[in-house]
Amino acid sequence: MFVKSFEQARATSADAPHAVTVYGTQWCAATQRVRRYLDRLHVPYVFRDMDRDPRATSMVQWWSGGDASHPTVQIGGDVLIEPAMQELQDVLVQHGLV
Amino acid sequence: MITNAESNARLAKLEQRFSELEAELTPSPEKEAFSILHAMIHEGWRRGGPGKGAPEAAARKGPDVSNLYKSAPAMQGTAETSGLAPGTPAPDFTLLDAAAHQVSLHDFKGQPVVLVFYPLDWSPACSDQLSLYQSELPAFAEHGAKVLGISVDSIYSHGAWAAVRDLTIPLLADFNPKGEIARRYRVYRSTDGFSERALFVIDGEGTIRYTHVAPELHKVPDIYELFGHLDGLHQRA
Repeated sequence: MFVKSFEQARATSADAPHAVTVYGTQWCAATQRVRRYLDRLHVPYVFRDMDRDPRATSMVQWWSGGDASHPTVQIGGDVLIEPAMQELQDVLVQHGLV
Repeated sequence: MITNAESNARLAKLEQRFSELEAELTPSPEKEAFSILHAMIHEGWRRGGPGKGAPEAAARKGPDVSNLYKSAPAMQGTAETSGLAPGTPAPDFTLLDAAAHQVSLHDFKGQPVVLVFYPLDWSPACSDQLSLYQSELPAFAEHGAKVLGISVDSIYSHGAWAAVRDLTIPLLADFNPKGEIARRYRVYRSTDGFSERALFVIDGEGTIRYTHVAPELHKVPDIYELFGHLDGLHQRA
């Protein structure tokens, strides 16, 4: 089954909020920056520590073609691998979370 | 014609099913191929979507200097020192910042200081670490804390790095004698010629209240732990 129009999926519009999950480590500065950013925006999220949760690491590797990249942020159907902050903000806006 | 909300909901269900499949597939070239295809699709969306990806980098000619650190060699090594312990008077110092102005620890008497010793400008973890603290400057200000970065780099390197990374945190040059201040704080790595990745929280009276030396050079201290100690200073006051 394919998504008929990728452009439709990418268009900006508010929709029902989806859960946010941040995959990363406690010692990764980029992961910390993403978490603090979400904290300031009061966006609830689940943090999956890739050092303590092997399933978290294997899931990121599955999404990324084999790399244990962090931070990886899942927002609904969007998976952002090491996102720039602007990119993260854009997707949060798309999902109506900010 | 489906709405954007319907499309996003469908995409979310597809992504969920894709994620569930990970546990059902045994490692194989086919599984790896699916994983790679998934990553390629998402990377394509990042490039083609509105406001997605790294917009400035695509428009620039030549290498994106601000992100050069991402392709630089990784910095690795275990801690060689443990730093001055909490309760120790913080050694005073005077160093030059990127504008060649003298900055002394005693300039900030009366307010907490967060001393950030980091190995080198332009290096991977250091770039992310200082950008993290830059984004947290309002939070540091709420604690009344001054953040100072210190490395063995020259004022010229500090100036260029700060400009490229949009850093306003003062970056002090522990350049000559090389690493002298790092030695006073017992965080100098003599095998490498630069400091450990270390944090010191110094209270308004000049006493070290928190010391953290990263166990591995590439590991950036937990900022939640750092703010917890700054909160503790307020409670102590």
